[in-house]
Amino acid sequence: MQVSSQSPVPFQFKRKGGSIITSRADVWSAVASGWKLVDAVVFQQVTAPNEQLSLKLQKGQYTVVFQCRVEESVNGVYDFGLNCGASAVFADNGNVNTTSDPHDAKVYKDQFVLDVN
Amino acid sequence: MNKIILAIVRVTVSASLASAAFAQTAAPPAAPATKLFERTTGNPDLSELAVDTAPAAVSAIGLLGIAGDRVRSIDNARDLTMALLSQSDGTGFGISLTPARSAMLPMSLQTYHNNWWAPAVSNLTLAYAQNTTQFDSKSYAQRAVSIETSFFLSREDDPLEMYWKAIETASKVDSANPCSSLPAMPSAPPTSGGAIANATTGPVIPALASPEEATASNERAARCRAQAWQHLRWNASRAWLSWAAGRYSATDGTTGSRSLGQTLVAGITLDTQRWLRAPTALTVALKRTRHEPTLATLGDAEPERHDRTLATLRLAGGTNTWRVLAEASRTKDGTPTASERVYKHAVGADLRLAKSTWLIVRTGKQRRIDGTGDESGASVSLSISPSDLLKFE
Repeated sequence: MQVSSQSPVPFQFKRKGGSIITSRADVWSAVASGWKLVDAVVFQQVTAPNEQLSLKLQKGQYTVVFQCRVEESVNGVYDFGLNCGASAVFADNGNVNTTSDPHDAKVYKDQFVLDVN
Repeated sequence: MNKIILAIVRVTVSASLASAAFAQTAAPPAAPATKLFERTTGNPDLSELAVDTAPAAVSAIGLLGIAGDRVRSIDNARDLTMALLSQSDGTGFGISLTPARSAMLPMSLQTYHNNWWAPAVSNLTLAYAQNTTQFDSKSYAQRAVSIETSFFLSREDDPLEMYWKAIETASKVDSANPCSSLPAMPSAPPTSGGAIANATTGPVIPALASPEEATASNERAARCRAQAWQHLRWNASRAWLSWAAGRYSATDGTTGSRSLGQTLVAGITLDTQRWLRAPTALTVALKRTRHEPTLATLGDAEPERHDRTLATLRLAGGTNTWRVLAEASRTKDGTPTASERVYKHAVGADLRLAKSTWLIVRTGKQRRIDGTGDESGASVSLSISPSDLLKFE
């Protein structure tokens, strides 16, 4: 997936349900020695239905690694979505409560390309 | 008359008011060691904080004496269907549903956090139970329903809120804090283009992390919970309310459907550390039973019935592993039932032997079972609580 945006790049994370939903997006750029972490947005206000952060980035191409943790809390129901720029990038919903463990959890990790112009 | 009753092993789930209608002629037991604040789900560490308090909360399952392994917790409509279909053998069973904690009527985390009433509603548990019992060579079918809730008086004592706050206030860059998240590198080395791209357009369901990454995340979350809950207090202020009612009928059809009575229990535990300058808690509880039939007259056309009121006051002090306490109770009806055979005045101690296992020692004055006055008594009992009432998470 590829997303284009102007700097500052807005990130929006929406959450619903009775689960604890935290996420972060790490912005990496390619350098000769491998990857260099440029910046990150962290969404951990678990009682807020919506978080918005933005990053000032130089023009260029980046790889954004998205991580999201869903953990059963009041119940296991969850719904989340990540927007970057004007694009809806990732989203999922369901019920993480699948066992008798009171802390059933689901961990996501995915990535997309971000073009800053 | 002094007497000592030793080593009574009691399982909380099946003991709470199991005797309400069918145990009035049972031998006088030790003062029931009842658990009012307990969990059905949650971190095992929290169950160790359960505080022993006053008369038990009532539930349909307890009212009919259903064993814990015959109780099904309902999380969705399918669970309910399966529970009902699997009970065609006519044996006793119970089902309990906490709607806000289930997928049937889930409460959102935001609703819980932003509304004063939400914790009480979140813990609201509905239960139904049915059973068959024998008395005097006659078989009786019983059915009961109940509704109960419990909650902390301060959000700061609520383990759910404590955990959420630990996450929200964690530094976004402190990798040593288990409540903070850690950055993750891209899954492949950079290509000549400097990034990995494909033609997919969003939104898409993100890929799951690897099992190793998920395990690491879960371990970190467990450390975060332990950190958040290290200041949990056994004497945190809380309140509870429960109501149960039932009906019975002879299985041979000689009696119609009759009431088993109704029981209402309300109580509050207050943290008194501020005034007494020591970790202490004062518990006040009231149990009101109406139209409870006596066992001997169950088969009569008009069974004899009693109304009873039991009030209990208890002051306890100690730690998560031991407590000393003094308690007093007052009942409005002179003749105690087995379910209400608590001490009139008593002092005692509770000692945690193992996880959810407490040694309970009491001595004091209690009412004679025949209602002819008081007697001194002492008891040593072992309380095993595999499940509790108050849902912490």
